[in-house]
Amino acid sequence: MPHGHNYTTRKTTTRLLFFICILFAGFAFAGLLFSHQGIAETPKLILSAIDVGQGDSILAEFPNGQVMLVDAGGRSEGAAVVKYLRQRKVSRIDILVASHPHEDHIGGMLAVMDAFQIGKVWDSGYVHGSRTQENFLATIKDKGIRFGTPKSGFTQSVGDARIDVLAPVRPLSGTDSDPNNNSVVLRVIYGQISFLLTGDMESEERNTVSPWPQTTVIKIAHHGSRNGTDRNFLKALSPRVAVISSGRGNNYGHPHSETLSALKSANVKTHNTADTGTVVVSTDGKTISVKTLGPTSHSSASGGGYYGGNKEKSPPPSTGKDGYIGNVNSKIFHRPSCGSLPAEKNRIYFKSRNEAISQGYRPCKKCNP
Amino acid sequence: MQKMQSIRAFLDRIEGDTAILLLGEEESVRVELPLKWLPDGVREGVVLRLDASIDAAGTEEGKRKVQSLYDAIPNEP
Repeated sequence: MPHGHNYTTRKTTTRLLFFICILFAGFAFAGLLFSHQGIAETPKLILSAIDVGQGDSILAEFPNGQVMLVDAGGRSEGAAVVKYLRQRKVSRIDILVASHPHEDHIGGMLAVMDAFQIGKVWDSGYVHGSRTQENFLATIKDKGIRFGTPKSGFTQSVGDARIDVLAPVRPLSGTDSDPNNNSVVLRVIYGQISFLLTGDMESEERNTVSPWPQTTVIKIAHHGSRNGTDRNFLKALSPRVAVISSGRGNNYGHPHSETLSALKSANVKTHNTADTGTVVVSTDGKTISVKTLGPTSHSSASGGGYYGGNKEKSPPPSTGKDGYIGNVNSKIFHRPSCGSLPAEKNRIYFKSRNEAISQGYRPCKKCNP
Repeated sequence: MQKMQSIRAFLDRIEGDTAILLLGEEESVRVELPLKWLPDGVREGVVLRLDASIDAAGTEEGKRKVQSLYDAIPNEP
C-alpha cells in the first residue's frame, strides 16, 4: 500500500505540477493577450459629424484627450450639440472654430460657450454683420476667451496629431458668397490618416490653395453644394471616405446631384448626416472605421423656424390691443399705448399682466397697466 | 392711417434662388423667401426692413371673390 500510496502521491504531485504549468501558461497567454489588446487600443482620434440638420458641427477628439469643435450648427441646434458633447464626456473645448459666420454654422455657439469651458477660438475674421455674429464675438470678448484668425500656413500640434490651416490664403471679396469663400479650412493629421474640414468653401476659395494635399476623409464643403466640390478637386485629394452634413428635405437641393456623381465616379464611400444621422469616424493613425448613429428629428431641420429666444417671447404684437411690453433693463412693463415704451431692442412681450409680474416686472406708473 | 409694422431682416445667406432671412432684433425667426421677391442688388450680409401694413382693399377683394364663388356654386348638401 505504501508503494501504492507513494505512487499515488507521485501521481498527484505530477498532476499538481502539470496544473501549475497550465496555470502559468494561462497567465502568460493572458498577459500576451492583454499586451496585444494594449496595442489594439492605441489612442484614437475620433471625428464626429454631428447631426444638426442643415448646418455643420464637427467634433474632433484627439488621442491626447484634447477637443476641437468646428462650428456649432444653427441656433435651434445648439442644445443638440451640447447634448452630444456631453454624451462624449467632453468637459472642455480646447479649440472652438467658427469656419465662417453663416447662422447654420455659428448659431449654436452661444449655447456651446455657455455649457463648456473654451480654451481658444479660431475664426475666419470675415465681417458678416449679423446680430448672431455680433453676439458670438461679444461673448468671446466678455468672457475674455483667447481668440485668433489663423491663416494658411498656420499649424498646431495636438499631442501626436497636428492641425494645419489650409485656408483662407487671403481675404476674398466679390465672390458668389464672400462668407463662404473666406471659410477656415483645416487639415487634421494623425499618423497616416488625414481629415479635411472645408467649412462652406466654394470654387473661388478652393482655387487659392495649390496643391491640395492628399486626404483620407473629407467633410464635403457647403453641405454638398455643387459649388463646393468638383472632379478635379476629388482627384487631387483622392479621399476614401466623404461625409456630408445636410438636412433631410432641405429646400436648396443639398447635396446636389453633381457632387454625388463626382463622389461616386471617384469611388468615395459617402455618408450623409441627413440619411444616417451623426457620422463617427475613428482612426488609430493607420486604419479608419466609420459608424453612424441613425437619423433623428434633427436630420430634417431645414427651412423656417422660430427659435424661441429669451428676448423675443413671441413675434412682436406691439400694435395689438392685448399684451404688454416690458423693458429688459428697468424690469418695468407698459401698455402698448404708453408714451414711455423702451427701444425695440430692449423689449420683451407679455401676453398678460400676470405673465409680466410672474417674471419679476413692475407696472409703469404712467400708463398703469 | 394704419401704422406700418417694420421688421428687421438680416440676409444671412443665399442658396440658389432662395434667400434665408433672420427676422427680429435678435434674429430669432428664420424664414426663406424667393430671392426674386427681394430688391435688386441684395447680397449676403445686408439688413432689410420688411414693412407690413394692412391692405384693406386687397382684404375686401379676397372676401368678395370667395363670396361670389359661394354664390355661384349651387349649395346642394
